[in-house]
Amino acid sequence: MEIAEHILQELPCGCVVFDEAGTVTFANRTLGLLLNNPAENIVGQRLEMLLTISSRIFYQTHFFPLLRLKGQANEIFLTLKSESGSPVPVMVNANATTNNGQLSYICVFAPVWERQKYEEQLLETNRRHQQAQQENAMLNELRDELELNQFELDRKISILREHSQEYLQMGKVFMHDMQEPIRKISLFFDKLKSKGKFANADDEMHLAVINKSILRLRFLTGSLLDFVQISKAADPVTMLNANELLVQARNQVIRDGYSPEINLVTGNLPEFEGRASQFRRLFVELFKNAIENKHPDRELTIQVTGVAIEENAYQNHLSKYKYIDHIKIEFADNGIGFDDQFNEYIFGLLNKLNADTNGSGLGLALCKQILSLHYGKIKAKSVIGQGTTIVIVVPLHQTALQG
Amino acid sequence: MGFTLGMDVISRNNVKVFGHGSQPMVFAHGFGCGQHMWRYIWPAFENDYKIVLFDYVGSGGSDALAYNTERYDSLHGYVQDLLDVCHELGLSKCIFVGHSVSCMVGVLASVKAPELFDSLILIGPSARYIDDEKYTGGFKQTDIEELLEMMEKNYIGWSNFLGPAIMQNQERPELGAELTESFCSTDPKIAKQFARVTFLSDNRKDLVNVRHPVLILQCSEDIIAPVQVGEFLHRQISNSEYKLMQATGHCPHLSAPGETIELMSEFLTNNPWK
Repeated sequence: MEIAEHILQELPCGCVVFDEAGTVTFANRTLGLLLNNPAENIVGQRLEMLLTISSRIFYQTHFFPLLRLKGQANEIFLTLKSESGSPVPVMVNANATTNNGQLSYICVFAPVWERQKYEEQLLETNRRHQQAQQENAMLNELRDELELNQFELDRKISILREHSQEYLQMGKVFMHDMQEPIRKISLFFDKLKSKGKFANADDEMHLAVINKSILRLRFLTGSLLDFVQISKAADPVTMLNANELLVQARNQVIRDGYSPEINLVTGNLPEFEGRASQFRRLFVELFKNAIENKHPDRELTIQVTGVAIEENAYQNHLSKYKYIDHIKIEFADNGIGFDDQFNEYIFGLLNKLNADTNGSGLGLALCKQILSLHYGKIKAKSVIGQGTTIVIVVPLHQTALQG
Repeated sequence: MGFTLGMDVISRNNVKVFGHGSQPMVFAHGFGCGQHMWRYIWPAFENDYKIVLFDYVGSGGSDALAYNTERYDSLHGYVQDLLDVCHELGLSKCIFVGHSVSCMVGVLASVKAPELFDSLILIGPSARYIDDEKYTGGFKQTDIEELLEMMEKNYIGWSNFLGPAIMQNQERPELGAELTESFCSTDPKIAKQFARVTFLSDNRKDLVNVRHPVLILQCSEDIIAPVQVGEFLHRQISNSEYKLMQATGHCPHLSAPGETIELMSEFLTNNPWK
């Protein structure tokens, strides 16, 4: 037994035993010599205190979990810290063992002074080699990707140019070509009406329907024109104060007679870049939408909160990621709400869920367009009877490389 | 927004769903490990909750081919993994249980998509590992650089983490079932980037945005997330409960599962939102 004890103390490697809490219960003489600290001083310390700081992290994130889960950890490189603070590179092997039902870990440390130098050289060479290889591969990949992208982009520009021509054309159609026939129909209809006497109630009713349809047509062409024109806003991109825009929008909605009063509660909303006229319009539409869907039994309250988040700047590219600062604004009303399955439908052009309102079904489509023009997104979540929350996510900066 | 389409999230993130409850309890592992870390914890909750385990892409049994160096160049890529898993499974009102770096992943996810979460349990959290004039994170920049170097050295013998010696451990047959699955990150390059992202990120400013009830489990003598860090989090997150554990080290869910489970259960019973 004495010989065994002697051998253990004189092993050509440091040896410790530590318990589940990580406290050293035994340390041999060799370890004491390696650390320049008598073995009896080491006993009672926490094992990780024998390590350098970086080794402590590795111990906690890799070594201990491995040992705990697998019962052993072999050929792990760690660095001990001697009493004087100088590092001692070691190779570690460790085993779990049970003695009288008590779990503990036996751990040997073999110094690797020479091997470490060699490994460092090897790593350095390897690193440079890998880096060169990686850069080369990346450059090749990028070159191919660039060519492909340029080709794609060129095609898309052609299509886009065509589309925006059509779009503007459509604007012209709404502005003039369609207004004119409507005006004529309306004019001659009025003339007919003022002249004629109509024999029966049926004819009177049909005339009323025609009259109503003319008004509806006028309203729709006006709204669509508005929709087409919003993208042409000429004001510059500036830092926007959402609190101010919200108050302005609310006042406008009240002034325009949509509602006598709107209870608006806002937190401290973060600033972000955008076109003021468009975001004011967006808030106007959101207020109008909330008013149209007000709950009959309670006063309309709108709560607006904002928070800074990070989102991927790429929205279409599946494998490209660049997380940049975004602002998320939640515009929550306490209105009638809607079935959440329609949360995308409501943003469609002329789509309306609530047929009882006078709205054109363009408001939310307009909001969506404004967000698109600012590289942002809009979505809705709603609970019937409780209210609707419109969530807006927009980049903090409009220039892609900022933030 | 940013939801990764066209990819099988379940196999990509090695998602496991089981348990007899309806409310989801989502476990997110820390740096250097995989979902196996939780195996002493989830059995205590599987009767009452729907247990969701997953590995981040690049860790554990995830699909390493789905690793994208751009996506995982910040914690936000990992946040997206968590959100993808929740969306894919149609989860809501999740109890999020995160360890180490996952705590900040959970925090960021809860700010981004609050509707998915009910409460957050943060084990050994830190919002910033590196010290500055007014803040003690526990580390200096050079410590982290040394760590990255040490990881590289240990990957010379990387097979140690995955090799046959570990895969066939005769002494611990109860581990046999899971030994076919890899334990740590499968690729040294991924692990190194994960380490850099973990230890160099700074999420102190995000803490005030947390709205959910939070439990902070702080270990005694945890060198990775020291007591000052846990206290800092507690001060910054208004709706947080702070428990200083008797457990030491950085992995109480491995070293002191009993205490961990007890504190988690206490929080869940007292949580008025539940």
